[in-house]
Amino acid sequence: MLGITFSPTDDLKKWREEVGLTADLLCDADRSVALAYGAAESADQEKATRVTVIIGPDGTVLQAYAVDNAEAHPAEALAHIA
Amino acid sequence: MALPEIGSVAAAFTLPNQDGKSVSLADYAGRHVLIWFYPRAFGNN
Repeated sequence: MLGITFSPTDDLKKWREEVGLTADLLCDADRSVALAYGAAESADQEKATRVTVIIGPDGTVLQAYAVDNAEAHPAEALAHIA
Repeated sequence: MALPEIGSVAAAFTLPNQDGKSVSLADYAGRHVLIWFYPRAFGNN
């Protein structure tokens, strides 16, 4: 499980510890990955769009969602990988 | 911006993690990976 945002790595480290996350948090500073995955419209977008992508063991995309409801989404995503 | 197409090969990437260590999608070959993009660290995420 990988979380990707545009925040600097120092912020990611602090936030990860504060919230108690165990997933790696990655810094997509130039938005190139977000652009490739539909989580940014342009390289100067300030914040990433909420998007979740599930990738299978063979490297193909199994599911991709734009997240409209951040509270309901985890259950929906978990149902797909259960 | 379009979401990745179901069944397509996921775009490769290498990015620094919270410790500055490089993490690649290829590191997870043979395993399921869930990638979530979110607006920013801190605040109401």
